[in-house]
Amino acid sequence: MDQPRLTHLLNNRTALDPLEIKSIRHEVQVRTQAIERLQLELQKLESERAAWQSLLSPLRRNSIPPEVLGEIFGYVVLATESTKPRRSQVNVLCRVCKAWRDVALGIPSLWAQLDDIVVQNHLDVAKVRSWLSRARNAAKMLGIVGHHRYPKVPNPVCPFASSAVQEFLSSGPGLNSLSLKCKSLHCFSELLNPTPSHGGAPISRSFDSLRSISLGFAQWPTSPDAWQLLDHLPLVTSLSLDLPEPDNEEDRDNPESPLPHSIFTANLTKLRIRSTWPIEWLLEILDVCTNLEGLVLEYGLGYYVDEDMQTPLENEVFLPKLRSLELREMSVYQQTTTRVLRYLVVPSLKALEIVYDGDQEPLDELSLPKRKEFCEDMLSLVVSDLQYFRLENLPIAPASLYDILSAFPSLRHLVLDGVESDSGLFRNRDFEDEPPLFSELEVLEMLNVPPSFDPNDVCSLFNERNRVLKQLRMTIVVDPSPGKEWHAKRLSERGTDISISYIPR
Amino acid sequence: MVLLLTSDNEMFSVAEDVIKRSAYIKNMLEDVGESDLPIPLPNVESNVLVKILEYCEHYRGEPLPASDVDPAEIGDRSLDIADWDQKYMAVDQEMLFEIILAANYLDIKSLLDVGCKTVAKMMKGKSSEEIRTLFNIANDFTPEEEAQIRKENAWAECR
Repeated sequence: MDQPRLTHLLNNRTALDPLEIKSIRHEVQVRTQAIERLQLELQKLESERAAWQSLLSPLRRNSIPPEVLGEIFGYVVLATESTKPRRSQVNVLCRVCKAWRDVALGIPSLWAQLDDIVVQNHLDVAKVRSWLSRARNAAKMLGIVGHHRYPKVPNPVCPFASSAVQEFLSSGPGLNSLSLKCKSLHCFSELLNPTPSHGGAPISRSFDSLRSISLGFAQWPTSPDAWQLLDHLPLVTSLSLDLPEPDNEEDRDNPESPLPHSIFTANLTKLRIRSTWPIEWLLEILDVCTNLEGLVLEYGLGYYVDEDMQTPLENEVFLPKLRSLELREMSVYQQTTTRVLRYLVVPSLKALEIVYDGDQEPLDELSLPKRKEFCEDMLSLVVSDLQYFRLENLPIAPASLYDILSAFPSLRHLVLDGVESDSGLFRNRDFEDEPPLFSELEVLEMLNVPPSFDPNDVCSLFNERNRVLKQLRMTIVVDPSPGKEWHAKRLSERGTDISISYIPR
Repeated sequence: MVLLLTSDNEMFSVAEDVIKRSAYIKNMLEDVGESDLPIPLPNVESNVLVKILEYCEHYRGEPLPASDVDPAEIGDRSLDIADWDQKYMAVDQEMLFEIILAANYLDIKSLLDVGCKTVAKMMKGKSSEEIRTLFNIANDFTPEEEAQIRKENAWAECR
């Protein structure tokens, strides 16, 4: 039955005879096939359109020069989330397209850093060697974390005992920086001891040319002699140590630190120590580091300070070249973690960072604590030209904060990040009787601060003193209140780059 | 004033202290001296030059980077971008890359840095496939090549 004879059926409700039904089924099938053909055509056109459009991609059409693409890649790798190793981001870039892979392969710096390689059984040295060879002459960094298959395996073998790892570290490629972490100091004995077990002359090692080394182990050595292994560390300019907690009171009561002084040479300019060691040990170590320019002390929240220590230590530690000092991972519950500051004489210090742990429970106190010990520690710090100060995650009364900040009139850049206090610090000061506050300040960053810091108070201090900041940045953890920005507007009109934002709690 | 001639034949008259943020123009002015002739910019279109001049105008008076410093040393290596720069870079992809190209051509290192950081932030945390989609880049690897690359570097994926 032809189509015109069926068309009238669309407009009436007459019953269909078998022949009409058969014909209608045929018409439906014809249109279904037509739709499928068109859908295929549509898919094909869309695919072709995408292919043509890809030619218009700004990256492709503009022929971004490889060096610019390389610059972008460098920043992408820098921005890798802390949960992933940077090398994984290099892989992502290499898999985008052939051109990007070629560009990435041509940028040595992308391949120069292999950090936190976790080794359980054995390190695939050939792959590490191949990866680092792409770094060509760039300064190379390698970080290996050994994982003993403990306790499931009866006689766990340390990954560092592998002759392949020893051979790799002995014969290159030459490294600028090396980080080794494992269970005990003993794990590194084969790597650090230059004398072969069968006797003979000391082995020449490529990592003797290292400029920076980081060593970490979790177990306190069973024998005091074991520490002497560190005598074999290369003479580096930058040393980082993650040290174990003393096993017992006897070890802790030893008046001297177990570290051999030979590792703190005149070459050493940067030192980082993460430990829970007594302050006396740290000061004894620092006393021999006379050329230090940068020092980081990480307390790991368990830093041991003898709260009953009434007798002050005898000697101050003179670090004439120290320019940067960081105290990190401190607990707000321990009042004396900054006591080390009382013993440091650091006339060249320019930058100081004091970072308390941000994940601690809020203090159960009605008013902000005065932090008497902390104030005394800070005020006893002998420093003449501090320019940068960062304080993080500390609840402190504004009067105490004022006392501390006014002791550093040379400050140019102040960062208060997560500091719980209030803008009484900035309000109603009698300028003539009190030491000058912020007289040299150029940049003020108040990040993640509570709403008790009123931007109006902060800005009005500088307006009243006719002081022009270069930059003021505030992020306040709460909803904004209206009418809080008048002084900010005025300060902005006078040339300060101002950013005030409110983030939900 | 300095005359600039764009690739689409538009003439711009710009204050010398504004355009000297471009090391390319600055060197040219120092080499050639004062001239009434326009400086041709065959790689920069007028709409892009308008954006470039907006940047130079904003930073007018700020110190220029020293010419004897190693370019790798200039600028910090963090991904922080100043608030004004972020707003300035809030443009479509095509313009973003045009700005980067022009900054590279005109040798405005600080602007090039901001552009590269902006693109890097767009790529942050994305997979290869997501980056291809973001920039409309064709995947020209064969499935075999892709599998081979994945296999080669699988060991480097995890800590």
